[in-house]
Amino acid sequence: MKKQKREKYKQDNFPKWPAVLNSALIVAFISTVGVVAIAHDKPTYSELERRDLAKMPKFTAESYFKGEYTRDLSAFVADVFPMRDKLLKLASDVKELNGFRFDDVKLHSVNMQENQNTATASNSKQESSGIRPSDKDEASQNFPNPSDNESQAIANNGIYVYKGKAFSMFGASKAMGDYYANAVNYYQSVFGDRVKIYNLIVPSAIEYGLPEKYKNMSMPQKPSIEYVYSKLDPAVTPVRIYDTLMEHKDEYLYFNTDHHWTSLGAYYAYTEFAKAAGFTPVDINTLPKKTLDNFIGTLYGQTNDKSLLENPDHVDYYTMNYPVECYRYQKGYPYYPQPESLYGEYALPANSYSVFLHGDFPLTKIVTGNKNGRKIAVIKESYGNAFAPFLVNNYEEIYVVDERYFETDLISLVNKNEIDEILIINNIAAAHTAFHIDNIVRIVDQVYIPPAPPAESSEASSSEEISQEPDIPLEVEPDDDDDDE
Amino acid sequence: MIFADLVFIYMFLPVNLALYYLCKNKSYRNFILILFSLFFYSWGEPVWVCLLIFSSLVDYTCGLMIDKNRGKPMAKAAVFMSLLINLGLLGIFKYSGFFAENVNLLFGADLSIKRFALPVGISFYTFQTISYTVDVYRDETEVQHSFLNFLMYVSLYFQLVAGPIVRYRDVALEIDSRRETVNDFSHGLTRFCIGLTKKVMIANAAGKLSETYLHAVDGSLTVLGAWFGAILFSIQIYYDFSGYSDMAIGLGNMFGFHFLENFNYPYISKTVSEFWRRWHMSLGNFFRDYVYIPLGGNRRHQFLNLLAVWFLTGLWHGASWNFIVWGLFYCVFIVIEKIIGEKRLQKVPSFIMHIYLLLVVIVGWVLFYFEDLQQGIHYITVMFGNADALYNPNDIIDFYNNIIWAAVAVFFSTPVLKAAEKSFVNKSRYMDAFLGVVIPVINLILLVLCTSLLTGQSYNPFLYYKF
Repeated sequence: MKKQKREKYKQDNFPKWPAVLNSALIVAFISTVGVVAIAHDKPTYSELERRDLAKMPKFTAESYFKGEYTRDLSAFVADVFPMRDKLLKLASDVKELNGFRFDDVKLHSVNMQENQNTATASNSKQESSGIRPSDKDEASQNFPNPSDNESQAIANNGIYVYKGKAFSMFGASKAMGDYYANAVNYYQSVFGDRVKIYNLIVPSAIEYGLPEKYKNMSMPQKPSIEYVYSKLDPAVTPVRIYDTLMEHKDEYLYFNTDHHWTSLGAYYAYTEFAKAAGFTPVDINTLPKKTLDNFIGTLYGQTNDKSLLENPDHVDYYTMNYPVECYRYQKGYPYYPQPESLYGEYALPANSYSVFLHGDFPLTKIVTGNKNGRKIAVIKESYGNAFAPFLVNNYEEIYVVDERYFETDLISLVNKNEIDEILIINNIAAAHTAFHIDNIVRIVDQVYIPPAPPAESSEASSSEEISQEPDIPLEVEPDDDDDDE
Repeated sequence: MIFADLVFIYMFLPVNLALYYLCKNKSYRNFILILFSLFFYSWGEPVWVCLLIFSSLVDYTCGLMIDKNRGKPMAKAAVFMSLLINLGLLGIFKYSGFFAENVNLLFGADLSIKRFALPVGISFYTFQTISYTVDVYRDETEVQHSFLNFLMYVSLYFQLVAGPIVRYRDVALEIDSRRETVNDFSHGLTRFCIGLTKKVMIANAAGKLSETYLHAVDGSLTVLGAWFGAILFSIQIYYDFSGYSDMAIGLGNMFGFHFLENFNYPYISKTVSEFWRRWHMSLGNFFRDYVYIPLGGNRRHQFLNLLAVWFLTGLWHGASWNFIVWGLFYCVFIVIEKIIGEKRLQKVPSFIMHIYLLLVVIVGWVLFYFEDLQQGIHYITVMFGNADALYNPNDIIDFYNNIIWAAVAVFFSTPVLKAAEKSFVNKSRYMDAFLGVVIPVINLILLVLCTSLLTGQSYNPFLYYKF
């Protein structure tokens, strides 16, 4: 009897209102969100992630048929989605619920897909640099280039977050170390008879901040550095800073949330360089200090780890003892310097590290009031930016060359300005990345090719892969240094 | 386009629903579905739309020819032509490179290897169209006289790119006339939300985590790490694919279609045969009805037939030897199970059978994952002890960092939801009223959570997209 009743209930009186409610609610929700997503004012910059957001792609038949237009459109919609910042915070809350921190440690895997993309991007750059015959002969034949993919995979297997600080793991092959040493020795063979060559490899934060057992998961850096130094031409002077930093490891040498070092870390490296180059370093305590607060760096963007947000960084920078005149050579304008200050004090909290020299530019020339006649070229990636300002105290002219973006050739720069010292300074990851080493070699004697007309270049910038432009980065991005690590 | 994409969920779907339900005329509704399906397909692959339409045209014509010439040799010719063109297209686009490579290797020939970019979904829709012509030939279904209706069947975006392989005869009636009800619609929405959650919250997370292990550099992988990688990939592929099928079935429901289930909690199986009755059922059924039984099934040279089916199953998943080995690997266990016999297997304690099945499946996924067969086999040896260390501190951190998530993933790979539905839905007025409020709220929460993950994540592949 009861069963029958239940059957009847199922058939006849099955209430429809839950179905109506469910349908109406969900459809109303997705339609409303859809309308808002199309209609709302689209942001162009994300404070939270510290990056420019994707732009609305331009429709062209070519990009459409390649499937690029639609892919870019999807990325654009995701990037400018309404309440994106709140959604991202929600996402990191959700991820936090995945489990527990063990020993206060959380391990973030780095997106392999992205790394593969950067690996292919650097490979394609390599190929295009082969346009110049001299490059092909010297760079490719003298320096057999180890497989890049392999080292990329090793170098990017994770980021630890430990007590509010993030640490990238390091790993690299010996072959890459050989390649880097060869590149430095190439400088010695080209410039060595009239220019003193120094080389400095900067260890990364993981050596100084993580408990031993996790630190051991990353490749030990001192042996890697010493291996490179052992392969250097005896005439090149290696600058050893590993132990010096170790003595100060409890100080603020590296940022918590960013992959760079602080100016204090750079200062200790500078004191070691002073010993090698034979000058007396300035005492940092005598220099007036300024500070930018509330800096959340790239490692937060890569991990979205909440504990980093609670531990923001500050960027200290120092006014040097001598007056300076700086000239910046922007991308695409290698012959037209622009007067500039040493520090970009306007730097937003998002990329406070670019306070140093305003970020990465092909060339920055610094003329100091210290008329001692010493002239130095610093070949660097972004780690060099925090370092170079200290040289103001000891050199009359400093040429800060970004190995990635420099557009003319080093030989002329050195000859024309009678530069008599060259310091090649790289963080350990860059020193083991084919992309960086290729560039270090390339800039020695490359031929400047003016950029393509604007119409074409804007089209090309929508997709890096189809760019046929040899070696000229298409966009001027002062903080574009994601490929460092 | 893929379902787990903000453009799809918040723009494409609402517009499609609105236009569809604003039209009252049935043929207009079908036409709208065709337009949206072609647009959906052309989102990522504008060129291959032509191939899709061509393929539909061929099978539509073949169907008509078969119907007109029933019993005559012409009908046989038409079904043969359909098979030839469908399998030919599949062969050219999916297998030509692989074939040339092996011929070169075997005979030292020098065939130029042209690898095409695989048109998305070609493996799925060619099987659908084959099922149509063969069924018409066998007189198991009516012929479709309207090309537009046939095109809609082939191009229907719910199942076009990643299954399930919907057979024509299963939806024949609903193509011509179907009744959309609010109950189905609501059901479909809920199903879609569940599928989306499976994809975004479980499969994507598993995929990202597993890469650390599956791509670990030589020597750095530990025994425990190798197991983590293999298990995470097993979780990823199940949630990815079954989530996709859920979304496809859910979308079908929203527009009045009723597709057959494609997954039935495969990881709770006890034998390999059972696993394949629960995993990607539409593919298994296809091979059963169009290969295994025509070859003679279990009446004539059964083991040879099994070999053929499993070779093809492997090959279907990709033009690479590892997939073939993976298929044959299953074949071995199925043959062994057949020899032992179901009755004797039932006497073995179930937990042993579960462990046996999971071992086979997990090891199988490793073979499946690595297209380089040697790499896959090396990985398996690491799982069974060929490593420097049993575990390392990173494995332990990863374990703790993701333990809750992993527990949830394992929990929902068992039929808990199904059991809950069985014991709570339609049991009492009060319970139904309660669920009537709770389900929409849960759906909304899931949608918001998935949206938050989709906004921030760049890792979002559909695994079965490449087949």
